[in-house]
Formats: sequence, C-alpha cells, structure tokens
Amino acid sequence: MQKLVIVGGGHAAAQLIRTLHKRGFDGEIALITEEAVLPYNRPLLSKDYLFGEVGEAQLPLLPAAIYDKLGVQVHLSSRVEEIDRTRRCVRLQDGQQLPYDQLVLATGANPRQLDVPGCQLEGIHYLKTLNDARRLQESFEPGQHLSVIGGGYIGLEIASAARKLGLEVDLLERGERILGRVVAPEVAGYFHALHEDQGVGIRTETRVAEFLGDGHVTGVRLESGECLPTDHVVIGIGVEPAEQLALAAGLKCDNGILIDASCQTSDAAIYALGDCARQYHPHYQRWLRLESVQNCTSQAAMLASALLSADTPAPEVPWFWSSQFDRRLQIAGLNTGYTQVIQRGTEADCSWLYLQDGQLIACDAINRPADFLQAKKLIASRARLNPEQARDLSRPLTECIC
Amino acid sequence: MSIEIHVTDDLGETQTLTGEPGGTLMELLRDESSGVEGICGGCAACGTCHIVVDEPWQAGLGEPGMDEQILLEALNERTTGSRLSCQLRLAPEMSGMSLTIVPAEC
Repeated sequence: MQKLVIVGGGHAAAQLIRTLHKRGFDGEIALITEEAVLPYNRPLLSKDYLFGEVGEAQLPLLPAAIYDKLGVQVHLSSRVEEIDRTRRCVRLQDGQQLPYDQLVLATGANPRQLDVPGCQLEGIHYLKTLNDARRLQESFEPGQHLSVIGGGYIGLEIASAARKLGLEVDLLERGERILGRVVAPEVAGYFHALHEDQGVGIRTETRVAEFLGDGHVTGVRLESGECLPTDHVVIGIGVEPAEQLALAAGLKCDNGILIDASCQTSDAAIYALGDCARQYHPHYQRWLRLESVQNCTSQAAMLASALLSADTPAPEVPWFWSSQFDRRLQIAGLNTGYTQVIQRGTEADCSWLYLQDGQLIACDAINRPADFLQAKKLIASRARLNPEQARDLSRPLTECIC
Repeated sequence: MSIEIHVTDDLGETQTLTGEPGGTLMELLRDESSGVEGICGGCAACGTCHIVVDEPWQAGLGEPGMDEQILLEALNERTTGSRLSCQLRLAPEMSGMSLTIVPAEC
C-alpha cells in the first residue's frame, strides 16, 4: 500500500488530508507534528480567539472522523530529525523510523526573532501557536500596557485585539510607515489613522535597543535612548520558512523549498506546500513564497492531484484577508511593480486598485467584498481599467474595463 | 440527533450527508462533498461556500445577516435561495433539506 508521510501540523497539512479524503485516497498516511494538538485554525489566533469571540473548541481544522476514516497515524509532539532519501524514511526524535513512498513537507514558517539585550525576559512573546495565544490571553489584563513590535498584519491584528480587551497599546515600527512591505503609502495611511483613532500609539522609524526588566519585562529602551514602560511585548517582525530539514537532506531551497507546478521538490518522491515552499507563479511570472490559507488550499489541490495521478489544477490569483477593529480587509493579487493606485471611495468602506501600466494587478478592499470578488476575476483575466470610471462607486468594477 | 442534508455538488453528483447539530453547514459540505472550500473558515469573507437552498426550505432558515447579505450581493451566480453555508448552523429542523453547491467564482 502507498505510504504517505506528512511533516507539519498546520493549515497545509490539514488541507491536504481533507483533499485526499474527499478524493478517495486509499494509501496509508502518517502525520508528524511538533505540536501537542491536531491542526487548528491559526489565522483566528491573532483575531477572534485572542479577544475571546471564538473558543478552543472551534479551532480544529478537521473533524476527528476524517482522521479515523483515512486511518491517519498521528504523531503529536514529534519532530523529524532527518530525512534519509536513499532508504526513503524519516527518523523521529525518539529514534523511530517511518518509511515513505511519498514524503510531504508542510513545515510552515517560524517567527523571525528579535535579538536584542533582554529578549529572553518573561512577558516577551511571539504569536504562532495555540500555546502562544493562550499565554497572551491569560496574561492580558484591562488597563495594562502592551508594546507591539512590528507594524505588519500580525502586529496590527494583535494591537486591535488588545485594544478590544482594554489594554493600552503602543506599536513600534522600524520602517517609515506601517505595512511598508505590503501596501501603498495611501493604504498604510488609512490603517495608521484607524489605529490611532482607536487609541493605538504608533511610532514609526523606531528601533528597539533593549528590553528592560529583572525577570519580567518592564520597559522597552529605544535606540533614541527613550524608555517606554510596558507590561507585555509581542514581536511580529515577519517569518522565515522552515526549510532546515529540506536543506539538510540536500533538496533545492532558496527562501523556501523550491517546488514545481505539482508541488514536487528536487527529489521526485518528496513534495512541499504552504508557507515553507516557493513555486513559480505563471500569472505573475516569478517565483513566490506565499503565506496564506488560500495558498495552502490551492497547493493542496495540486499535490493531491499529483498523488492521485490526476491533472494538476492551475494556480489561482493569490488572495489574503485581515480584520482589524470593525474593518475587514480583503486583498486580491500582488501589488509588486504597480505604477498607479486608484482610490475607490473615501469613507470607512473603500478599495484601492493597483494598476501596472493600466492593467489591474491587485486590490485592497476594505468592507467592500464586491470589489474584492470582482477584482480577483479581473486580475486573472489581465483586465485594463479606466481609472476615471473605477473611482465611481456607483459603477461595478466589472463595468470599468477599457 | 443526526441531520440529513441532500446535496447536489458542483460535479452534479447527488448524495445525502449526515451532520450533527452545532457545526456549520459549510463545515459538513467542505469536509464531505465537492465544491465548497470555506477558505476563510466561516467569517463571511471569501464567498467560497455558496449554496442554493431548495425553495420549500428557504423561508425556514431566516434572513441572511448583514455580512452575508453584502457578500451574496457581490456574487455573480446569486439567485433566490442563495446562502453562504458558513452562516448556517446545523439544526434538527433542517433535516431533509435539499441544496445545490455553486462552484467558487474565479
């Protein structure tokens, strides 16, 4: 019987198992995860779970019945130490060896560490796992002060959740604006104003020199010399692909494990998907490593097709979402290389359209799901938009093509 | 008590699924049939769990909430009986309901 071993217990692994279940895979599956629990919904950790809207019972990604039906052999709290490509087996930390016909690396990504004096103090957190989120939830008390380091999506979501829980929040960003890597300055300005209106103190061009405290963190010293008293710190300064296992096994990696259109690595018996993998995207004509649920779903469909010898589905236009306070941000496409940004609407609900020489390449839609859904289709069809028409809210985006 | 739902999926296949009260209809369809992705996990953000409920069952489900309404209006394939299955919690009175899965747009 075909033996499939999946390393990693995040969205990518769960979605692959779900897809194999739906498509009638009849081989043996082993799942190896470093966590003590089965795959759960990570995006909720920095949002609804953190501010108490969603409980732990709602987090699992798959019902127990699916693992049972497929007969998945689950190894919790387990780590793969080594891949033996010649003998086609993986060795676990307890010495156990699991043979495979196909191996799937769904190892995800790990938070980038901020290495400054005091970084080991109690009360300094990262947010990746359920345990991390539990610790934050248990330690946050209304009226306390939280310092968020990093003005990316994760930092902004945590700031938003902490304000909802009644904490005082400062957000420190090294760059000249928040969301610097991912959105246009206009969109960054929108979120900056939103967070300040909600009481988040944002400091840009601000670097941390040191964390202060004896045992538990009590303050942040900035490079300017200024000291900010604080009760908690959460650091969200990006992630790095978990590719060490692949590198040690001699698989081709370059900011992610390199995979082809069917998610196969440089070893034909080994596949990879999700945050740890980098794949050529024909729409954008470059290699991309995407950190999103949608990417896991899309690649799980490609990988399942490869395992079942079916036709590989084509990659989709990437999309993402975030929620902060009462705003739901939906992002379609990638904006790298844009030459023009069009703002559609001026109030709380508005969209930004990114054009590259007239062609729509991305859209940031805030509380405007219709724009998001239509933009996704227009991006895929490489539509060119008439900027004047696209600014007119009374006109659906699909009627702004030129 | 189990709830039986008669489903026509995006491939035209018909089957009867059995769910338990408490979960959402999206979760049952996502896990057991073809065509529902439910990528956003059920927060009415993505429109990948679009279904059309058969006429006799529409009224009993109540009106869509604001988030669901806005997203439904954005879907090309929307028709009478269109719902986002992530916004419907499985309940005993749904047993016997028939629905059709609409493939995710784009």
